[in-house]
Amino acid sequence: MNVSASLTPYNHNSMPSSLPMILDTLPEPAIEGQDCPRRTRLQIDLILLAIEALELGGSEAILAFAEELDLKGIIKDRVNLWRMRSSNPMRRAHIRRPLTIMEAKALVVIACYIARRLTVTIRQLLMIYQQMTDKQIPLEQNLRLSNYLERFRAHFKSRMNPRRTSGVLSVTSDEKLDELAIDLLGKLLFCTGTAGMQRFWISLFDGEVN
Amino acid sequence: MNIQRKYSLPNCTLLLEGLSDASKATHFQEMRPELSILVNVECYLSGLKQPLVGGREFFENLVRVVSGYAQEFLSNVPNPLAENKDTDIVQLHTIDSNRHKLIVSSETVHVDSFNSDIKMPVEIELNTVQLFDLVEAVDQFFADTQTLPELTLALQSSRRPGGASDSVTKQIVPATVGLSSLAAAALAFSLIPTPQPRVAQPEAQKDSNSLTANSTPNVATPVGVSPTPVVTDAATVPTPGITATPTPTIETFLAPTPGVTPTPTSTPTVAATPGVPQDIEALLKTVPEITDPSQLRALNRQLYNQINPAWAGRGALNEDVVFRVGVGADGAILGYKPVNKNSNDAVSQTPLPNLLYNPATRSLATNEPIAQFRVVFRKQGVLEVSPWLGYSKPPQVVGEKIKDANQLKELNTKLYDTLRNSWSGTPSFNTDLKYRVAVNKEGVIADYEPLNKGAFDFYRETPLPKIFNEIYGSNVAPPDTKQPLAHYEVIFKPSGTLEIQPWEGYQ
Repeated sequence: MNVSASLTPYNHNSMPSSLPMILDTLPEPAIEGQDCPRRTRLQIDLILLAIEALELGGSEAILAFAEELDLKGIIKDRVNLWRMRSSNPMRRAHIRRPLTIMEAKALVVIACYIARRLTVTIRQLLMIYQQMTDKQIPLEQNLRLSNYLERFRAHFKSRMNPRRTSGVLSVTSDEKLDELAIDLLGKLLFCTGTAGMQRFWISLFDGEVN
Repeated sequence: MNIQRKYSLPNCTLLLEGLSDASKATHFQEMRPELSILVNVECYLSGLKQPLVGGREFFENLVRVVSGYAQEFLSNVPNPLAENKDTDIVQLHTIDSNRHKLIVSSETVHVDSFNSDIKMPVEIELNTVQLFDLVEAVDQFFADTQTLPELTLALQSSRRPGGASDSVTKQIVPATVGLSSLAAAALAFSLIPTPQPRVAQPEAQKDSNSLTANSTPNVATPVGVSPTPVVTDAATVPTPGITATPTPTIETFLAPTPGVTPTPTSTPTVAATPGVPQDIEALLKTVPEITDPSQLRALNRQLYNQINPAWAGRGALNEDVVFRVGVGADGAILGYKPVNKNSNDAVSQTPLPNLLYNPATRSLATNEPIAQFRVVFRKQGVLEVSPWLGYSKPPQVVGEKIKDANQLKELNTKLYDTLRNSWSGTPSFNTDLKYRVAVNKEGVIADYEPLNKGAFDFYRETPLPKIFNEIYGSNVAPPDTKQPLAHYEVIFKPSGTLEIQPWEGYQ
């Protein structure tokens, strides 16, 4: 992997010196300024939402990993985390606050660490989904899968503004929401890979760089 | 030494077989030698009874397409690396969000020939977990620095829709059929551009576009690309070679799309070129230049061997076209520049755009020295390559040499016998074919190099390529420079006689 190799010199110009090394594994995107585009903010929030739907106490886990990975300097506390995630324009409580590249990196690193820990669950749920759809069995009949889907729908509905999501994500029904949940599960699986963190990160800026 | 590498996931196992480059292995007597020459690849997928089997081309195609498709899967933005083209051996298509179709076609990919009941092309449907396992096997390969280290994963976000060109899609340098050169192949994945070079980089892309348009600066600025400050090196770097040319737009050739006239509206995604200087002069300002005549000579040859077989459609040129070409120490073409407008206009008729080494991270990161050559495509269809500034003194053959007189004599005889026995038939050429041929202490041919025009044109009539191919399995095997060699001048005469004498240096 040479993704990070030649990038560090540039990083250090614009950043405080004491940043965790782990963020250097993610290259700087070629976008204007230091703030994330809309789609990036949306996708990061959604992947975290999927994590919360996967395991109870997902948001605590995010904070715990922030501590463990020495990212407390960026993700300071619950309120701070909530404000970052509220930069997602789809949120009901959307606040006009930028999400900096640095914050986005920290969230992505954490999401990928949690995803890695949940690899087995993610794989199993995807395999179950595959089997159920192959046999045309309703997804609700599998307890684990329906738990995940239900929780995801609940989180999504309680936090996202339906007027905004119906347009951009074309999420207009529970069925669509389930599709989104499964889609995010697949993305989480990719996050678990050897280069998963870099892949996910880079993909967040697809179609955004100059 | 035969080496196997296995990357094993529940639904996918990638098995690579190859050899280590002996010259490197001696430096590192490590437990896990580097697999540097890929001989065979097997890709086992759950749901497929037999593995997909292929060589380097198949493998490069596979890792490129799989990697690009993985990114597409993550972002839902079409990725140029995964753009399915008819020429691709490997294609991946989305059926729905959980189902993906892998298609492998081409005669070079064959299933086990003894019990083959699979018809080409192979089509297999993968679910997301299976796809992930394939991606992960590929990523584990990329992460393995002891296996084909020149193939690296360098990810890059695709560009804003309406961008300039799909330049990155086809940047794999073909392992060209050269007499005995090894064109280091590189994958097209590039690093995310870093902030500093980014400013100039969209211009690089646009400039390469504007080649086909009438070249006014920035005319080709594609719709939807936000204007960026123009910092072309043309403006700041004196360019002696093109002082007569008024437009700066012919400056850059670091990632043009071969043979394609990009239309901004039809190529929605583009991956950007990483931070690479825009032209050779700029490049030379930041890296040392190779001036050693012997090394230049070797690179000269490698360059010729890369370009010559790739030059198709000869005779289509209205006049000679000339380029200044920058080459890395490994022979990779890192950049080129037409010396005048006519050459600029004719760039698409030359193989240069196709041969351009993918400017992945290495060109800048390693600060590697480059050599400059003058490459002339004659309108008669003849290729000429020479060092841009000539040789400062007569070049020597690089590498250790066998000097013992008796041994030289013995090897001379042996070489004569080898060549004599395998050269027969009536020559169709009417001039002498002169070669430098090097053998190791066992008399095995380790390297050969044509020395005159006839030798280039008629090399297939000599037994050299065949012998070389039999020993190394390929015409593109790198010259063996690790062991001491004895060098000879070998002349195949139109009369059918063979003359061999000890090498006395380049004329």
